[in-house]
Amino acid sequence: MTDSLKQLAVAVASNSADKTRAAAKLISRIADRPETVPQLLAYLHDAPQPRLTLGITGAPGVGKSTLTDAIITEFRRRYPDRLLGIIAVDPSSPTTGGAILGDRIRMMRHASDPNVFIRSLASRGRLGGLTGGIMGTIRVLGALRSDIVIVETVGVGQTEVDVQNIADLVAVVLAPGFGDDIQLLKAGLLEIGDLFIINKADRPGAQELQAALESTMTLNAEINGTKRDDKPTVFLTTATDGVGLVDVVDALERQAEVRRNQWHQRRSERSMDAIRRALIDSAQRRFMGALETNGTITEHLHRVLRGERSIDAVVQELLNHVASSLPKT
Amino acid sequence: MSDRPPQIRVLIGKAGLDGHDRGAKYIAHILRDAGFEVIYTGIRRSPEEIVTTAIQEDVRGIGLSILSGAHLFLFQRIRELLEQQGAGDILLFGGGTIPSADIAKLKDFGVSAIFTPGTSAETIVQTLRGFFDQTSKAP
Repeated sequence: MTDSLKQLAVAVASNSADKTRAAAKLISRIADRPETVPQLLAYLHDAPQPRLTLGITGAPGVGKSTLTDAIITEFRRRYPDRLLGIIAVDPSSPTTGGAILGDRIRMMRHASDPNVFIRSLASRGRLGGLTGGIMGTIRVLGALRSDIVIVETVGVGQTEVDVQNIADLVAVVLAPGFGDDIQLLKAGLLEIGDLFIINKADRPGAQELQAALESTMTLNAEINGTKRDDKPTVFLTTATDGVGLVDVVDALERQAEVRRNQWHQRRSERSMDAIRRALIDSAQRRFMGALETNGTITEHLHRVLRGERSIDAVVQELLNHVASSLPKT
Repeated sequence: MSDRPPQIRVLIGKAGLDGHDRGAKYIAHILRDAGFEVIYTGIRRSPEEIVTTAIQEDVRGIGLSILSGAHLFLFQRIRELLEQQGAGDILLFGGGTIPSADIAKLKDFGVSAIFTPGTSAETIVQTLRGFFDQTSKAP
């Protein structure tokens, strides 16, 4: 309990016997305090990262967890020696903060596989389909030497699209019976998919949905002027029976091969963004903290309100004041 | 900000061959309403699956609902596996049809609490909170 963030990070990145437990504890630490992620990025700077981070998103009940389970099975079949990391996010109760995390039930056939690390996380008030600090959790699973990390979002509506900010590739999962082709023209979820998977393809309406989705993709490609070949592919799966999974995983592997360098750069940019945000937060906290202890802020606000000073002038004055009074750390 | 307490996470599940999960679901529900994060594993899990899940999920406690009569074997096996994997600090608790003579035996090998049928939701939540508060204060 009392291990520091750094001790835990070192234990995860080492090959020690307790690295799995250390990783699990580190993930809890990040979930409790997402603001520690930028520091963690530094501790894990030289640790391995996953070859592919795959986001899986879609409406509640389309079969995201079952599909994740089937993708795990297919990857394990192909690479018996490699590790897989899975992060499954479920909603927290907005009233009590509690949660029932049940995505794992669909993946229990992997529960005693030492090469599969599955972690359930609660959304804890975040609205974008994920949870705070998830970037750090992906890095922890990478440091555990996961070849691939899969992030399954909460069941989303149309605009919970945070997953595109943390995944290399996003698979949007749909199922027959969720609305007509006008739904497919709407903005949001359909714009972030690198591939589309129509699950429960053994049910009526799957082929029609595929046709509608493909024609929407073609329309989008024409409007955006992208080449037809670059438009996302639509796959049909029946995840409960593993049907269609070979094609899906082939497509993931192809993308991982072709776009690796591009992802590498994008991941560095995201780390830089996280650190930039942490820096701004910290600067703001210290700036406001210095002002509040000084007790001058109300007086300054009044002067601006009365038109005696411009905002710029007050900021300059305050910066000078803070610079001379900040504690040296 | 640094006094924010860690979120309490617990595993609720059923081990062995008995498939009556109403009790387990009830406990999962009341713990969720008490603000816990509950990892629900469903029915027919092996002790190995439960322990691996508990470690990956970093839970503070494992609660098992057992109606099959196999409680002595299952709890003892899970306790052993936890110790072997350096996770002996994870609490065990249970509920179901467990004869009172066996409750003492279970406590002897480290099961912290057994909630027999009729125990109120409030008692269960308060007892568990009491355990977790103690373990957070321990060095």
